[in-house]
Amino acid sequence: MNTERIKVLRIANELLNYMFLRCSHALTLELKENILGFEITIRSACSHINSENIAELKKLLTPGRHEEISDYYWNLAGTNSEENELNLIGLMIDSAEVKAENNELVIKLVRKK
Amino acid sequence: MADETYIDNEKRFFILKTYAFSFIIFGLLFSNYETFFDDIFRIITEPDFLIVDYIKLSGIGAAFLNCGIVTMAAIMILKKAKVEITGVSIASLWTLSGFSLFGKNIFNVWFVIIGVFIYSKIRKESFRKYVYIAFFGTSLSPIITQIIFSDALPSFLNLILAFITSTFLGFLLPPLSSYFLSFHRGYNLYNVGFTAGIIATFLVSILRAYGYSFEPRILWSSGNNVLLGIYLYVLFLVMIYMGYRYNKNSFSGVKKISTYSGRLVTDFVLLEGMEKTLINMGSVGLAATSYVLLTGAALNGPTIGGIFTIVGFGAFGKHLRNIIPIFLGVFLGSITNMYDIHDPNMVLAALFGTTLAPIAGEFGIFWGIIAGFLHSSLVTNLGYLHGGMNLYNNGFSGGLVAAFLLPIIQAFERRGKDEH
Repeated sequence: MNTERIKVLRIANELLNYMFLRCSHALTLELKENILGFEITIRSACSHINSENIAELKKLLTPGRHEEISDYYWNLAGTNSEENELNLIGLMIDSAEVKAENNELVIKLVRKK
Repeated sequence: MADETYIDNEKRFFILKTYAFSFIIFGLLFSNYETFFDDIFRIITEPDFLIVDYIKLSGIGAAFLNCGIVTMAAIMILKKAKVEITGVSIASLWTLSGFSLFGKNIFNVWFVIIGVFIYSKIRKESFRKYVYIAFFGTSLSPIITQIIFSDALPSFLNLILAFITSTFLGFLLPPLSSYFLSFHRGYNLYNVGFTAGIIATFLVSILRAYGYSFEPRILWSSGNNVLLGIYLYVLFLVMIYMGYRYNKNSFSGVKKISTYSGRLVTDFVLLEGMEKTLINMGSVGLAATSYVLLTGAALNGPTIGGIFTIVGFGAFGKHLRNIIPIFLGVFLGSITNMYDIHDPNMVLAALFGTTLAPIAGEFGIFWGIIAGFLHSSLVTNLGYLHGGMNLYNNGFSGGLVAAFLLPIIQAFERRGKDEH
């Protein structure tokens, strides 16, 4: 498998870890690849998430892609369920949307090729 | 109207250049102009393996001048590579600055950087992606000095051999340093130090097998605590003041930095902003300088190197809450083991041992102290393996301590959680 796809799987895994440990155990993950890049959407019932958590998630996921950092450290992403590396994921992606509606948390990430 | 309190990338470069410039000015002020060229020449040609204090070797002036020029040149490389200055840029620069007082110099650092540059070009990728590995990778620069100024071969052959070796190192560092992250899972901040330790262990073992020997030596200056102490306190107080001014004349939000564990990758500039990061960097700098002075150790090239490295990583994982337990652990080690607290080994173990700060940040004071304690013994035992050729000996030790401790900590922590 090429490195790019491994990186995307690590991103997805990191999101799965986060949602599985903090929200409900029933979640949906969608991973799409197109000519422009990858789109990962994860949604889960998450009754206890508040506006502060959402703001923190947005802060971690939206610093913008920094290849000079993420290309060195990406090996830390998505490998361990006990520590989250969302700040690293934020450096690996081009855009992120975080929404909480009707007790459901939805995170959508885009990584361009 | 532009927000004048926001520190944009240009201002970040300006701040870094100001510090590099201050090293140059400080160096020029205290240079001995009668022996100026001899002093610089000695820094370049003397073997650099651990521990060679450039202040002892050539005086405060030449040492700081070397530090300032190396730092300024590295800033120019970042500028040329169009890098956004973040926590890791600051950490890599201050680490380079610090080690330019004991082991890295205006001559030997370029070889490893060029090696990584060649690697990036062969892979048809931007050097920007590898610039931090190149900067951190200069921890192997003593190998280059050792080869170039060796008597074993004619000079031009030494130069060719140094070039081949640095290209070889440039090819090894990126894949290995990325791979070894999983060994300590980001709990050892000086990851390239760990990687370079492994590489240097292999290289030195091969060289030893072919009859080369590496005699340990230590150049360690003392007696400059007043002058260097004042300089460092001014440097860090100005840093805190700058951060305070840019933070709208307040310390608000700075506490948030100490809520992070500091585990790789915790970039305070990206997470909390440059202004709060400056305050944090200045604070850890003051704490580290005070530790050296309070323990009666000397402020010199190696210890200031340690302090600068802490300051740099004050933008990339370190804060008072996670470094103090490490200091305490090493302190505990040095009052109980055979070394004195102000022995070079112990004071450097305390300063550079903060590579393990994320353990204290994630698992608390107790485990931080244990990590510091273990590190204080292990680090004294590893130099032989790489013959002092890896300047980040503490990063090498930190990787082993983290990998050894993590399963133990997690077994205890998990058991505690499972019982509740």
